[in-house]
Amino acid sequence: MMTKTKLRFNLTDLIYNILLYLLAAAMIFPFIWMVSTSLKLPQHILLWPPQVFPKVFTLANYQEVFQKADMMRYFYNTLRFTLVSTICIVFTSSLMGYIFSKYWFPFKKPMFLIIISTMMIPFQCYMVPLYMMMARIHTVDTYLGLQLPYLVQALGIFFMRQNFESLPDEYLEAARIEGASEWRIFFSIAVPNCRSALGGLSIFVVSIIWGNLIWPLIITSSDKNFVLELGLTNFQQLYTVDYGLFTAAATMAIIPVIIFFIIFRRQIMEGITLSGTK
Amino acid sequence: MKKVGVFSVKSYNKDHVKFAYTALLPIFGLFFIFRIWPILESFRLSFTNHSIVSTKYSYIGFQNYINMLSNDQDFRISLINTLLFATLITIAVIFLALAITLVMDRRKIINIGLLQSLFFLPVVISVVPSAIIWKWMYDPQYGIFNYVLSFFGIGSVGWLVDKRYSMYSIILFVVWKWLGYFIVIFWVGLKGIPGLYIEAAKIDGADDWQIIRSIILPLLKPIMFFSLFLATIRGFTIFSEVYVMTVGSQGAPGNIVKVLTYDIYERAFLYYKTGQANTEGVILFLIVLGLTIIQGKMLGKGE
Repeated sequence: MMTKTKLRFNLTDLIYNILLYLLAAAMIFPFIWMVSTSLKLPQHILLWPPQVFPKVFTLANYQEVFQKADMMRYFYNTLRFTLVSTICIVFTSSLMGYIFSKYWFPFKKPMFLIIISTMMIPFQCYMVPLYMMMARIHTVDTYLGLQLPYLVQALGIFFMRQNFESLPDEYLEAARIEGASEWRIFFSIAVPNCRSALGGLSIFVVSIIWGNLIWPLIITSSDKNFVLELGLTNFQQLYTVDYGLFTAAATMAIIPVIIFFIIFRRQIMEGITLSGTK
Repeated sequence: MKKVGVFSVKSYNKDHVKFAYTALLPIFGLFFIFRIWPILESFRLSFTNHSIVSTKYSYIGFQNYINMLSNDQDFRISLINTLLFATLITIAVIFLALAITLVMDRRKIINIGLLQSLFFLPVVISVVPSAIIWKWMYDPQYGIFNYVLSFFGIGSVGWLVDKRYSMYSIILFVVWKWLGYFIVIFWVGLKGIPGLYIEAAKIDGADDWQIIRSIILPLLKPIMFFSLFLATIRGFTIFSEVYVMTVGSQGAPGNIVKVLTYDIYERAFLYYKTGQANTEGVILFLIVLGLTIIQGKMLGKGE
């Protein structure tokens, strides 16, 4: 970000600063309100006028969430879904991207075009046949059924190919002269040279998988297979007016995301153009 | 490994081709099974009366398409709602994001990095927790929105349950959720404009408005088109935001906030009419394809 050394304010600047920061405060207010509600006693939640700072702080809502919903299970399912998807998609995307960028073989162009053309077809358009296929191989309401469609991603392949284009061919040739195998060249020269792109892709995949609701909603139906997003949706439906309870559950769900955001803030905001088609 | 025409197969490096295929084919296989095959299936099934609960079905030509476009109430309502959603969200989000980034750029703003992160936070937080908070704020009795309205002497509003307001309440939520994303995109675009142009205009005595109108906006055109279509396409395929905000009331009489993606979901998994669901999926795809083609043409012109 740009640092402005000479900050000489005039009145208009001051007004604009106040306006923007008020707006930003409004943007994050819902989160503050959520945390505040989750820490209140049930009898204080519906107080009128509403209180931003709880009169009495309590963790009772959180304890109750753990009794009523298998939060740990949801966390585990989400984490597993996110980690496996990220590792697989990053691996398959970089290998495919590398090969499409650096090798010359029959049917290269048509294969690449087929992959790229699926990029602009929204998931919602083919989710029904995908579900039917999962039904045919008996993976409905299993972890496998949830996971299988997220091992490859066209956008990742496209993105990694762009990045490998800037890797000089001479590096690869030099390794070949020294007798390195093609696999070795990929793992010890190509991959380390594209580390920042891999990082960007990983963050992107984590963010789309963690927040994925539609596929888990379709494919899983029993509580033990729910990811966090789906578990929360159902939980909120079950305890529809118990605001302390589901704000506590929602707060728990966003803590990992906030930590992730604080650590990778720059990469996430810079990598935003990658997700252009998502 | 020289790049040669398709017919001079001899000049392919054998080892390279072997490596490329061993590495590529398994992954391409996955890709075929989980992407290409379902896409082809959705086209095929859109011409059938397939139902998820029976194994027998027959091809009925364009009947599904004809029925849907001529006299299908659910489809019509969903299409109108989706159009409204996509248009209003896009206009609001693009306008606000542009205004905010222009202020950030033209005025002396303290700690722009922090400010952008605050705007970006709703983008990062996943849909369900965000929607849960908003449902609480929209509560018809104790919601904080109604508390604010009470200052102006306005009685309680059923933000999500009242037919008149539910769509706009969801739009407000989506705009809040997406705004930061487009702010960052516009910011990247603005930083790409050479400072020299603006300095030169300043020396010539141009004020902020003139700089914005005659330098920034024309140079920002490609990014604006990109954002415009991105927001529209995302608006057309919106699902989670609407689903979570209205879960439980989607099937309510009037279908006030039903969108195309939800109608697909409902047809397939609630009414088991998979043939029709696929028809609707193909129609949605054609809309997105149309938008993409227009975008490509306009971007091509803009450069």
